[in-house]
Amino acid sequence: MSLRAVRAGVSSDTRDADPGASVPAAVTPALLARTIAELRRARHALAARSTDSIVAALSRVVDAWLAPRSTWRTRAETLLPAATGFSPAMVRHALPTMLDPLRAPALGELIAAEAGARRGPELILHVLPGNLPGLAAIPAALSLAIGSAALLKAGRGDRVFPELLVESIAAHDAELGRCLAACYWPGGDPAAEPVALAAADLVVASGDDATIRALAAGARGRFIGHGHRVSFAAVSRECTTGEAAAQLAEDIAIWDQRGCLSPQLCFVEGDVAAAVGFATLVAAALRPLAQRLPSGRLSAAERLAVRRFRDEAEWRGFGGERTRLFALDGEGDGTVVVEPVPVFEPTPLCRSLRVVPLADLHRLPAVLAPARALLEGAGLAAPPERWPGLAAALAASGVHRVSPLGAMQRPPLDWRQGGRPRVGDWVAPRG
Amino acid sequence: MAPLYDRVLAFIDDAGTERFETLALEVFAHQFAHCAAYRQYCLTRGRTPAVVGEWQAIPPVPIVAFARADLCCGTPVRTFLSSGTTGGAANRSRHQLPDLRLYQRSAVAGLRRFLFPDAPRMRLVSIIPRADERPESSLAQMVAWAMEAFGSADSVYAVDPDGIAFDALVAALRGSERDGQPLCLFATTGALVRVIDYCREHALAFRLPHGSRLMDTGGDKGAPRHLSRRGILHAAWHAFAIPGYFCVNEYGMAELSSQYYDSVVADRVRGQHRPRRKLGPHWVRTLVLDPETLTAVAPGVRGLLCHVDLANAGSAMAILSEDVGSLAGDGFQLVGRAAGAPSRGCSLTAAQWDAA
Repeated sequence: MSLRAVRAGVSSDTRDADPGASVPAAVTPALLARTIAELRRARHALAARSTDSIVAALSRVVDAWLAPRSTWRTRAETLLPAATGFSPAMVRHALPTMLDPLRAPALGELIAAEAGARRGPELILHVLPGNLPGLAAIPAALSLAIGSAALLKAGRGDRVFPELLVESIAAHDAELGRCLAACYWPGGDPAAEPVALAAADLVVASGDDATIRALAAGARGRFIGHGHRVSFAAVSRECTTGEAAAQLAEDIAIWDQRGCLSPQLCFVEGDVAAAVGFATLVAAALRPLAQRLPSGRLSAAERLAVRRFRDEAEWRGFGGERTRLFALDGEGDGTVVVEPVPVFEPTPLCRSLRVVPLADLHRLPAVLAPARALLEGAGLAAPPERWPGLAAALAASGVHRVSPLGAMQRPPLDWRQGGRPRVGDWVAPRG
Repeated sequence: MAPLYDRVLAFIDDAGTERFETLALEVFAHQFAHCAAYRQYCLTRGRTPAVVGEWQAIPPVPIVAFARADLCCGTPVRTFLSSGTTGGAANRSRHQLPDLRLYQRSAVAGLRRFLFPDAPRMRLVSIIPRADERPESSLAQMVAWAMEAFGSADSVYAVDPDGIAFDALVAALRGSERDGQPLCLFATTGALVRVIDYCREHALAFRLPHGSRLMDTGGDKGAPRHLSRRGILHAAWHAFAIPGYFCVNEYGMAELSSQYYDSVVADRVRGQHRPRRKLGPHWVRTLVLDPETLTAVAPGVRGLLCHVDLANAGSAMAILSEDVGSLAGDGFQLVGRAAGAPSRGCSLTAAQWDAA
């Protein structure tokens, strides 16, 4: 087993400007300080409210978002493609999945299970990751449900959704709305960021390791960081079907593979021929998805990374390795590479997958061991009698969520991201 | 008719011997016939010598090909490796040469044209290691040939096993100050920044005789800090009294047998006052390709540099680099290395994995 490294060279010489992306305006430190003061004031009212009443109000907001012809969703669907680069069809398809887990009674049940009567700190700062739209919904709802005010720091790509979310909550419940604010500053901004980090009683942040380290160093209160993670699929020899391939293809295509639950590898039980067979099916399944859920806009750097991934696979084949490449027309439409020997190595995303043969799925723990700290989710296709054993082996290998293929991107609200409770860590310790 | 490599050598010596395109298409046919991996690549794309009628249509190999396949027409007599700062040996390019004469003739002729057009011989001072210490380095080999072809008897390597031999370097620079003989300093850009920092820390400044020059190469790799081209020109003047028109940045790669140079010395010798740009010799052509469509872009528009280098007749002549630039008159502007995929979303990418 080896951890082979694909080099994606990065040079400080080139600032890879993405001409399509507009850079949102940053909040000024003065405005941010005023916002924080208002959040703290508003939170006093929240402290007097019952959890049930807050949860009920939030459920109404979620229902309003998910209702047919929801004006909130319509507005988001209108604004998000331009703001994030995702295709309109993808936004329409995937945005509801970001709110769906909050439907009653899930929110109330989670709060009861993890927080009970304990309330959260006065002010939580959520530093949201990159540009997966809709990621603000769950942190915002959970914060309010435990009685905390929340400041949502939007990622560069999506300032639209957090603002719409705040507006929608305020429209349904002005008191809750006053306890929530969305703002943006460039990550690491020396003016705004310290103001927010110094004010928050708790910082919950997602991002790459360097971002997490920098934020943790500046946080005054408690800090919870979620670093980048890798997810994968495992398909038993009984399940290498077209249906499994189609489900996996959908898991890959959602949000163009940018979620931490997006599979980047697929282990196929059997030999190289079995892996090639399944890879063929996955590539075939990605093709109609390129029409139904078109890829978003790729930056020049992403395009280059995908091309490098493809070139690498193709030339390894010309060089005599049993690597196989299945490449759809557009760089963002899909790339499937069969790796002849077991490796655990991510891909450049943009719907690209490594398919790795493994004689027996019970050997997965050995393959996963070097990546243990980076694992998040696994999509499993296995017959019922093998499922418990394989799921247990995956959990023991450091996987935090095992789901069937096709459901990898729809985690329930109580998904323990990074192995941590969802809100249990946010509230004051028991006793 | 002389064998193909001899014709390329003759063309390097004299552009009038035949047309670039004629030779390029014959070299393409040669590589298609003698390199199995390249043949497969061309067949996959349906671009074979039977259908390719112009040099611009010759399929260029991506850089990763040099790490993953043998791209040599025949038995290699010498193999150069890319510096491969990360990713381990498996990811280093291997440039295998069946005939070293092509590289030598090209490298020396390029240096003559772009670095020493006005100086048959001068004192060379290199802080790039000797070729016998770094046999896998194409740059070290080029410097060794430069020493032979252009170096006076008192040329030196100011290098020790730990890196730059600062004492020897200072002695050589002071020597030129004293005897008035200009020198040429060969350095990687990273090592040059170290020297600049060293001079600043030790309050050293040299007034090198007029005609002294600097050749640096290799970008930021191994540099203690990033220094812009403007910063390097500024420092070269203040630390060495080498004016900008004698500061030549070389752009080369292990996978190429020919090099590009800043135009400044060549322009000066020709009495031209034109903006600094990269120039290549007549046996090399450069295309700038749209990263999306891989079709040629208009002058001034940024794209990926694609090199067609006849001196690579024994390996792979057409190469698609990962360097970004734009055509500028008779040369191009080099912008830098195309960035890897940036982080978007909360999923770890291969690039971040590799950096971890």
